[in-house]
Amino acid sequence: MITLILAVLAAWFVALFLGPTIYAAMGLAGFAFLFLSGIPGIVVPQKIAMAANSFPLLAAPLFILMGNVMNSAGISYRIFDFATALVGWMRGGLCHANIIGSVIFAGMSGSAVADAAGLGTVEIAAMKKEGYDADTAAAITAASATIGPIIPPSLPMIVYGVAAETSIGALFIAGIVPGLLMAVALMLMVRALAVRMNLPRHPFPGAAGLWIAFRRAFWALMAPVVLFGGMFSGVFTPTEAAAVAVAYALVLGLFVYREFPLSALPRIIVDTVETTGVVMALVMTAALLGYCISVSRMPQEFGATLTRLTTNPLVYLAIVNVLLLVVGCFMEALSAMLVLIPILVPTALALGIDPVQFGLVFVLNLMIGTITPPVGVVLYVTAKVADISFERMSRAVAPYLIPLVAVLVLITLWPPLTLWLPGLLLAK
Amino acid sequence: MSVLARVAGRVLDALAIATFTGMFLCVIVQVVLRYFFGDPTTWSDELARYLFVWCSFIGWVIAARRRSHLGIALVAERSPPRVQAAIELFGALASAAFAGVLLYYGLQITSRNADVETVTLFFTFGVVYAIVPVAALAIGALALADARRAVAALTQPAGPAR
Repeated sequence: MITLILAVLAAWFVALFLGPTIYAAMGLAGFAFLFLSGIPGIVVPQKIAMAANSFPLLAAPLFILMGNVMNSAGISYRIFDFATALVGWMRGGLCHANIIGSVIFAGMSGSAVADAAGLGTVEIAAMKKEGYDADTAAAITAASATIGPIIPPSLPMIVYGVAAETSIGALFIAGIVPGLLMAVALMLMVRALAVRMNLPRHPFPGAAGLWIAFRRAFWALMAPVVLFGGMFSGVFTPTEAAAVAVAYALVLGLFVYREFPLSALPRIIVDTVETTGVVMALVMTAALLGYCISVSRMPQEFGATLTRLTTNPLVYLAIVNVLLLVVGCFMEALSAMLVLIPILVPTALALGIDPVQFGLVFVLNLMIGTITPPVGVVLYVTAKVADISFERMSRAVAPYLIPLVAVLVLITLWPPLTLWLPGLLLAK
Repeated sequence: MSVLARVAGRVLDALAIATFTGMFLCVIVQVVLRYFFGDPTTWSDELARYLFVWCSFIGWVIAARRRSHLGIALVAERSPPRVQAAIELFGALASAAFAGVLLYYGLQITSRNADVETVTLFFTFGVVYAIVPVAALAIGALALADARRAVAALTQPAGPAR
């Protein structure tokens, strides 16, 4: 059965590049495995439909709606204006503002693509107007967009938590410190590049100007407070907190900022359902393929082989990091995650690695994968927004991989970076 | 666009809005009842989950209609138009084949669950599964239409691009 699953996975991987949708390739690979190993095909609709029969996973479409509402409600430019007032006076100021804006937006949106497409549009336009070249603007937008799914809320962490049976709340809290570290690391890189490239500064607006920008963004800045407050005080589950935050964002967009009319709501919802369909088609067919991998007993075999080679958790983490970084270059993040979780997580747990730390390492790896060619969803989106070629985009973002990988190495080597905060907040 | 396609699109949008809004309201009602009235509900959790199943499949169809499902365009982007059309045909046939699998076994699982009771709700589990063959039919039809377009592009005589 192991040879069979390996053959099916290899065929699937090759077929992916011949252009079918990822879900069709995964679904057919799963079906082929079941058929060839004599398992009834009725498992296909069962595994696929029941993948969506999950209350924690239901937070995903709610956070997608939240991102869409935030982008329609004029919240993205208020956040960017505030970030510009805050750090724009440094050299390469709008690059710094771009990073800070992403950190704030990360607190209300859970996907790197939403950050790149929504906030990114505002950021890149503003940066081009101030004389930055398109490459620099696009590169920092894509790099900072990866912070989005590390700082809660986070679609990949919801999916990880459901698939690896790890507390989503704990994963969320564990992402805060690494997310902020990513921002600091990226800002250090901008500082180094800004001097060399002689990037412009933005005038400091003065304390009064800063205050005005803060007031204009105030209700938007409260959205993460509503979200985290409800979730981390234990009042709401992540799914409930998502629904409450969506209600807050709707009130904000419809009645406080009045940036979109009630009549725009149906279109926003249909768009949200569309994105939900794209995400869920991947999640559902990957759940089927994940089931096939478990049935084949490949995880046990993999674990046994690996523990013969090493029982050192750090060596295992190093192997996982290299594997995920390579896989991340060639695969879409969510499907890679769901296919690899049943293979990699059991061994990690057996070696005594904390499931929350492992989750963070896992997710950060694959988020870096979204900005590495040849397959990088965030690169595609940002290149389109900035109107440059995919090749130029890939070259421009390369320097920013260094600080992100540095953060990855840090959270791999030093568990307290991910485990201290959840321990502090959840110990009650 | 034909009248039929337009009506189908309308129905699809309406279903999307209905299931999504229903799901959202279930969660909100659950929060309000528990937090303000100290009265935890059980049906809201279950109904929200089944609406999510429906909503996911409806979104799947909408994304198929708008061609927004993720695929890897790496090879296609660097190929001449004819190879591109061949790749498109292969992709459409893969989607159609998978839709066929879903349709066949979806009907099976729906009829097998036709009298399996849900835990707190008034309908049976067959209703939850019924969306699978319905969505499969729509996805299959869309994929076959794509395949036909690709064949047309393939058989069209070579010449200057239109």
